[in-house]
Amino acid sequence: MIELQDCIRRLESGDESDRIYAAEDIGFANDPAGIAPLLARLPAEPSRAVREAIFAALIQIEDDGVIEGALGLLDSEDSFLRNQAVELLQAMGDRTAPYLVRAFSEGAPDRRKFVIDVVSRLADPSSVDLYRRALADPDLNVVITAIESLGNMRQAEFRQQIETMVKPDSHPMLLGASIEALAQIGDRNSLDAVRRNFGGTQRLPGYLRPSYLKLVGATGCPADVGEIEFFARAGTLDAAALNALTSLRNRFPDLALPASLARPLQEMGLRNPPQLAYQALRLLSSWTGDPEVSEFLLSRLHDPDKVIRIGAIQALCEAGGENVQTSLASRLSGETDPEVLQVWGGKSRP
Amino acid sequence: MRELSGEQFDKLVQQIYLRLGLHFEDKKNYFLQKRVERRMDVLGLNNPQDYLFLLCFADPNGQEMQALANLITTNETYMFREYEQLEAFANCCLPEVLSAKQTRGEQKLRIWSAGCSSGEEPYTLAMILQEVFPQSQYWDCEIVATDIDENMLAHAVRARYWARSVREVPAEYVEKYLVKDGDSYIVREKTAALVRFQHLNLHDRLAMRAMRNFDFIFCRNVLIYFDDRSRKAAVDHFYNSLNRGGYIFLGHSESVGRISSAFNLKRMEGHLVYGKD
Repeated sequence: MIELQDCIRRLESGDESDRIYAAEDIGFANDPAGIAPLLARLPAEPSRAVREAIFAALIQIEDDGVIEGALGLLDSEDSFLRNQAVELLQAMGDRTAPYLVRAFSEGAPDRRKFVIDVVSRLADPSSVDLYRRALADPDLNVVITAIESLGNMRQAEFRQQIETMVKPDSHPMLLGASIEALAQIGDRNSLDAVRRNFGGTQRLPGYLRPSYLKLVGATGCPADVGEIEFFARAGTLDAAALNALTSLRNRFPDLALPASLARPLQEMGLRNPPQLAYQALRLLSSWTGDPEVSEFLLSRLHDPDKVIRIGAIQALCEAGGENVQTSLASRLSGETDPEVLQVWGGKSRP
Repeated sequence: MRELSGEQFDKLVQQIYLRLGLHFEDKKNYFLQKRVERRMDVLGLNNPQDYLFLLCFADPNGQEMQALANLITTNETYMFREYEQLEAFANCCLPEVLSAKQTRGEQKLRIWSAGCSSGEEPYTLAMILQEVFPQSQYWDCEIVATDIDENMLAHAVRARYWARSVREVPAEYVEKYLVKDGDSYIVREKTAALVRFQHLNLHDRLAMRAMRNFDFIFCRNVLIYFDDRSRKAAVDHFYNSLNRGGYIFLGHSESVGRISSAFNLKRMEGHLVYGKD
C-alpha cells in the first residue's frame, strides 16, 4: 500500500534518488490527488532525472487532471517542460481531444502551435476541424505546423487547400513546407498545380528546388525525368536529383533513363559522400551494357568505402551477363569484407 | 528496384533512433535496405515510401517497429562482443573510476551486467577487470549479473562455453582465463568467482530499487525489446543504481540520450560514453 502523503513529502527530499522513487510511487498509486504535487514540483526541480520521473509518473495517472496540467505547461518559458508536456499529451491519446479544441480556441499563438503538434498523433475526428482552423490561423508558425503535420499523415483531404498556398508571393517557409507536404501526400495534381502557380518550373526560386524535386519524385511520371536532369546539371542539387530519380524508379521499375544522364550520374558517383554516391551507382545499372559505364562501375570496386563497392556490385549484377561476372570475379579476388562478398554471392538477399 | 532514397534512409534512421534509441551510420545503408525489403515482402508493399509511412504514422502499438528491430538486432552473444566499447571501458572509464576511488580511500567496485543472458558478458568483464586492475584481488570487487531467464542463468553459472562463444577472446586472455576441456572452454575459477548471478526482472520496480551502488552498468542490446515506457522506467532505475562518477553502457548503437537526458555524454578516446556526474 503506497502512502500518498509520504510520497508527496518525499518529493521535497534532499536526496535525488528519493525524489525519483517518490515520483514513481505516486504514478504507481494512480491517484488524482498526486497530480497537483507532481506538477507543483516541476518548476523548482533542479534534477533532469527527477523531472523525467515526474512526467513518467503523470502518464501513469489515469485522470483528466493530467491533461489540464500538461496544457498549462505549454505556456512555460522552460523548453524542457514544454516539450515534455507535448510528449505527455501525445501519449495520452484521443481523450485529450476536447481539451485541445478548447486550448486552441483560447490560447496564444505558441500554445496553438503546440496544440497542433499534439493533434498530429490523434485519430480523433475533431482533429480535422482543428486542422481546418489551423490552416486559416493568422500566425504563420501555426499554419506551417499544420501543413507539416498533414503532410506527415498524408491527409489528402487538405491537398487542394495546401496547393493554393504554393504561389510566388507566399512566405518562403510556407512555400517549402507546403511543397514538402504535397510530396508526402503524393497526388499528381499537386505537381501540375505548382507548375501552374509558378508559370513554369524554371521560375522556381533556388531554395525551393530540392522540395520541388521531391514532389517530382513522389508524384511525377517517366516523362518528368528530363526536368530532373535539367536541375541535376546545375551540380548543386545532387542529393535532391538522386532522391527524385530513385523514387521515380521505385514507382516505375521499367523506367528507362536517357543516355544523357549516364555521364552526370558517374560524376555524382565520384564527387559525393558514400550514401549519395551509392545511389548514383545504383541508378547506373540502367546502362551496364554500355562499356564506359561498366568500366566505371568496375573501377569503383576498389573504393576504400564498402558502401561504394556494394553499390557497384549491385549495379553490375543487375545487368547480368557472363562478361560482367568474369570481370567481377577477377576484380573481387582480393575482397575480404564479408558483407561485400555476401552481396556478390547472394546478389539480392543476404 | 525498391531502393531507399538517401532522404528515405535518413528518415528511417531517425525513426529507429527516436523509437528504439538505436543509431545507424550512413555506411549501414545496405544493411538496413535489406531488412526493410524483407519487411516489405512480408507486408506486400512495393514502395519504400509506403513502408516509411506505415512505420512513422500507422504503427501506434509499435508492432512493425518491433518486427524491424528483430531483424536489425542480433541475439547472438559471445565474449568480447562490441570490442571497441569494451576498450573504452577498460582504457578510460575503469581507470578513471578506480583512480577516484583510490583517492577517496575506497576499495570497493561494483559492476552490474543487466540482461546477462548465458553469462558471456559478465565473464568478459571479469577478465578485463583482472587484466586491467590486478589489485582487484585485494579489493571488494563484484560483478552482479542478472537475467530474467532462469535457464540462461543456470547455463551461465556452469561457465562452460563452445568455441563459438570465445572466438573473439584475445589469445592471451584465452590462455590466462579459460581452460580448454574437450570441445568447450571453462572460465577459470578465480575469474568466475568475481561474478554473482541473480534472477531479476528489469520490469520489477521494487526489485530494481534493491540494485544500488554500482560503478558501472552494462545493459547492452536488451532495452530495444522494451516498449517506450518500460525502457524509460528501466533507465530511470539504472540512473538511481549508479554511483556518481559511474558509467552506463548500452549496445554500441543504442543511445541513452534518447531515453533519458539525465546522463552526461562524454567522449573518451573517440568513444562516446554516458556517465552520472
